[in-house]
Amino acid sequence: MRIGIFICHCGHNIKSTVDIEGLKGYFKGLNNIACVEDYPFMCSEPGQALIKSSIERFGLGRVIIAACTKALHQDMFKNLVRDAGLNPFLLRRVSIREHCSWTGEDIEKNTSKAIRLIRAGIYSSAHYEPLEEKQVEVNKSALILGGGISGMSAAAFLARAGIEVYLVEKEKELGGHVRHLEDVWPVRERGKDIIERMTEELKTLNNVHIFTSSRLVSFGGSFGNYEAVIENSGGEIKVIVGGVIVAIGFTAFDPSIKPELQYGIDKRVITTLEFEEKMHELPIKEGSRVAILHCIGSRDEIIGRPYCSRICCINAIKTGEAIKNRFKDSYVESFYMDVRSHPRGGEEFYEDTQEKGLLFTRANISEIIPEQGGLVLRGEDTLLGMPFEREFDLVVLSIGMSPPKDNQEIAGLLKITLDKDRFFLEAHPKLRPYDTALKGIFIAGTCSGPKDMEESINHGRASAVKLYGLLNLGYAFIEPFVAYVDPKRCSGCRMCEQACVAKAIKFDEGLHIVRVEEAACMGCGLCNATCPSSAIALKGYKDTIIDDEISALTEAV
Amino acid sequence: MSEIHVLVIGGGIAGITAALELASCGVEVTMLEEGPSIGGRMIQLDKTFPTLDCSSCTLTPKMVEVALNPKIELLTLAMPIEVLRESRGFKVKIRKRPRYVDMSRCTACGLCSDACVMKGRIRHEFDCNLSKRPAIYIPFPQAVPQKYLIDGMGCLFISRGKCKKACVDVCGPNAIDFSQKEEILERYYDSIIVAPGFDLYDPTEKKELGYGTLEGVLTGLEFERLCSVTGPTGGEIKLNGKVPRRFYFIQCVGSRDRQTGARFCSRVCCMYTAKHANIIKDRIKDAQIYISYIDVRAYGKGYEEFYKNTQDAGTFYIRGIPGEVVQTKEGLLVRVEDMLSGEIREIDTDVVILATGVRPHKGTEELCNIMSLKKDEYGFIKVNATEPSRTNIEGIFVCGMASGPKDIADTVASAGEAVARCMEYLKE
Amino acid sequence: MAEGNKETPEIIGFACSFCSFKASEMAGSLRMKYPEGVKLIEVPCSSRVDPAFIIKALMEGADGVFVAGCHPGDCHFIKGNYYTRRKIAALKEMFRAFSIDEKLRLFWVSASEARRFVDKVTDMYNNIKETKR
Repeated sequence: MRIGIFICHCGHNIKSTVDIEGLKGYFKGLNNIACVEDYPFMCSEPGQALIKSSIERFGLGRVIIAACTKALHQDMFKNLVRDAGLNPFLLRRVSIREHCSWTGEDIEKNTSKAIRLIRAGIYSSAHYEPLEEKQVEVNKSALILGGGISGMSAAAFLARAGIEVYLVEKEKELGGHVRHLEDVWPVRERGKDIIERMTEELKTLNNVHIFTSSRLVSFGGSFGNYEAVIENSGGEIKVIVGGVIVAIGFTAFDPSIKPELQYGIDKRVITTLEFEEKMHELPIKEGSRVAILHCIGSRDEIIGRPYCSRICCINAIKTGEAIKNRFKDSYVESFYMDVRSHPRGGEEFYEDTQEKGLLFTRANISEIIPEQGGLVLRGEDTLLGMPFEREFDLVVLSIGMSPPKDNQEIAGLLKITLDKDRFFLEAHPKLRPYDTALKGIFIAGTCSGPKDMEESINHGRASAVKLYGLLNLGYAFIEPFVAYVDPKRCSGCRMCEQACVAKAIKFDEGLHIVRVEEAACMGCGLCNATCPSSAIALKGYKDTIIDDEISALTEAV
Repeated sequence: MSEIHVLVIGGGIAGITAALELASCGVEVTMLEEGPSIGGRMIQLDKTFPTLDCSSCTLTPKMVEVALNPKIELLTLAMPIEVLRESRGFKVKIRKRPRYVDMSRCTACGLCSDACVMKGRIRHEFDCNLSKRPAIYIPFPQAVPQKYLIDGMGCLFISRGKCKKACVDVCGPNAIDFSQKEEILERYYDSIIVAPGFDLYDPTEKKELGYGTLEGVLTGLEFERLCSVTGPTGGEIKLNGKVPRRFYFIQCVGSRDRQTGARFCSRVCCMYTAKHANIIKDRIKDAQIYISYIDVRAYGKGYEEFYKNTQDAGTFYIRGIPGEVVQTKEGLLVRVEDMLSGEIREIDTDVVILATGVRPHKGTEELCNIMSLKKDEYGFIKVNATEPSRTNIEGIFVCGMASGPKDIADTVASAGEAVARCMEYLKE
Repeated sequence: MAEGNKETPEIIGFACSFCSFKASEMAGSLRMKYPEGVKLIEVPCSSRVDPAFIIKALMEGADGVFVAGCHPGDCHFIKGNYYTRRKIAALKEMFRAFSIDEKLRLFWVSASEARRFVDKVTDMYNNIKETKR
């Protein structure tokens, strides 16, 4: 067998803590190694050209790429190997970045670890077999969870593109948080109007099925053919969908867990959301004193909300502006840490409201003390370094975004992951900001982290395009890592059949052996570990593959 | 849908994302890139915040995908010069500048660069002029397409008609072709997505900060090139051969600044400065780092934590923007009023790095003129928050920084949105 | 065989590709440090881990073996990790008879718990290093 090893420097990332020359020197002398190459970026065009030409030149039977982890660039490298005329399943990726150069600082130790990791790749890939990806039909339909602005935007796009859409919303009506906003910045429209316009549009599309007051109760299947059960007062409806967009939004932070703010105790303390809803019923008049507190439920590690909620600074400014517009002689003071008015037009908005007389004070507020005459704010002015106490008639808390209430439940049903703040975790924070690790399942809008309206719409529609790109052909390829049975070894004990969660193993009464239904097999390998006679094996993860990987890792360098 | 053809103008991360999404939806795409390689600003970066993964590692595979995708036609050194509406689509005239290298023959061996008499004599734009290149060159080793080009201005033979043409002698496959002329292509496209991207503010006019006059005052992008493996120092942070120890960053240079006519926030400078501080701490253990700021806008996912970690790692944040930077015997001195303590502080430093803000790309104005696109007061292409990619012209969509500052994640999402709107337009 | 009796233990970990391996990737990309002695083998699901692999690894000289999977209830393959839990418990029981049960650990790490992953492997490493003295 002719094996080629390709070692990536990844710029500094690998090279600075792994001795690349040392690695090359070690492997050059070994049996069956036809070539050992290195390059600053294997994933770049010259790097890829190097791999391709080496495969052709040396007639390689195995390609070992020692670079970043397998989750990155796998499809690209597979296509590259395929183009060079080698079965893509004879490619082995070895992670010497995420699992070596980045986790240790000692060059000598890292190099020795990298040698073992690469060796594990060589030993185990010796047992690889050429495999073929399976073509499966995909359903041109999509399930969208959450009928807020992000989900609605996604639904409208998909439906117009000819995809059957099932839009599930747990509330009575569509629209999410935007529906309740009196004044949506920067378009300066009522949220209700925006939502109603979008709802009307969705209703004209006859391939959108809207389920309000409904929820997802079960979920299964695989890409192209996910099975979802939606439950509402009318009972349960089962749908088969090609893909899913999760857009379940956020929960507004509840400030009552910070008792020092008196929220829920004193009626004169309200949130920005409440201000939007009952702006005109508030007990304020000319001359009233209003305080606005930023970062309530954001940038606060003590209560487990270390992140910035991205929208509350603008909300705070908008609140101040609304009061100032109505009562020119009111006294409105905003207490902030940093003013993050970063959206388009936000900075100008911030400056203009300051000119209207809104005051901004950089301060930490420690508590609100309710008194007869008003609410006393006690805090420290961080610019002057002085403690202060000031009295106000109304305090508006600019609340942040908390993870959606159903995050745990949806994550459990769909088998997707939450991040450390309990929002959904994206596949890559920059280049795949709305993908999950699962094919055909996307996360859009604020359920993956705070966003403003424009960003939520972008997210919803961009994820919809991505899903459409996956579904529009009507078929897709899936990985061939399924179990198979060696009929000569199978004794017909049926232990694997009992263990199989997917019920993919069927017993053949005539031959007295089992066989695997490939379409149903999920590829977990439980049967492989259960079989007492090594008769059933998972492709790509056979016993010999893992056995030799263990040997390679334990053997001396 | 195979007969539908969309033009994507700009080969940065926005244009690349848009082109790949369009192709996955079954649309034929032509991508125009003004420069010799796609990759845009992102490929000039060493690392990206907040994960600190290298920019090349995430972007180069996408660039290669563009080059290999059978549905995408890539034209470099090309710009539209005329756009006329024709039925629902557009008739576009494209000017293609000569490369003077036959793309089908060049193997990117690099012998020509070594042979060029101008080697090391022409300022290299990709490295923000921090390094020198020959007249025949490849902008950076991972460029797509992997083809050399001759810069007509720098080449002695093309500009003056006199050169021994050593490049031609060493070129095995005979790829060099001085007879190439500018070409004008005329094409029909059903829709257009524009993603011309951005430039960075040139701080020369801010005399008090000393950019262009004092040794050791750099812009953020210049510093980025200094950190980069493909940069002038091979990734070692060195100025004039010495490793600096003291760094001073100044934020909001040319953002949130009425004086320069830019009231907007550039959205990326706070974070890229924090990133630079992290890179320095990683490579120069005993570095002293100060960052001057007005507000730290760490608004994105994981940004706040990144900012906190930067502070915890020993970077000092000073609220207040320095009044002046002056030369001293041992280096530079920054005078700043620390608004938190109210004191005037004088801080010695080796390097001052200006976190310059974002401006529309210089070609944006021309592009808007030929397409009759409306601009906002700063020259960004005008859009509306509920339809963030729709321009005033039906069938022309915008994404990325061209419509206002965005970080990479937002740019990617905006490119997806532009594709959504474009697909809707095509289906109407 | 592994390199004799030296001070730094060698630990082999089996990590499921959906949760624990993802966490290890994240730990790497966040530049979290853990001992080089820890080396991972990726398996599709923790239930793929045959007790024979664990015995083999120990026989060939590994100082410790861990199996890391998704939290109970989060298994991508629905209940693979429940099988793992039972299998490892039985194996540990057997190891106890030989006083080598400290050499085997099972823990749950979800894809976002990079910190937990690092803490778990570092703790195991230190523990084994202590007993090796």
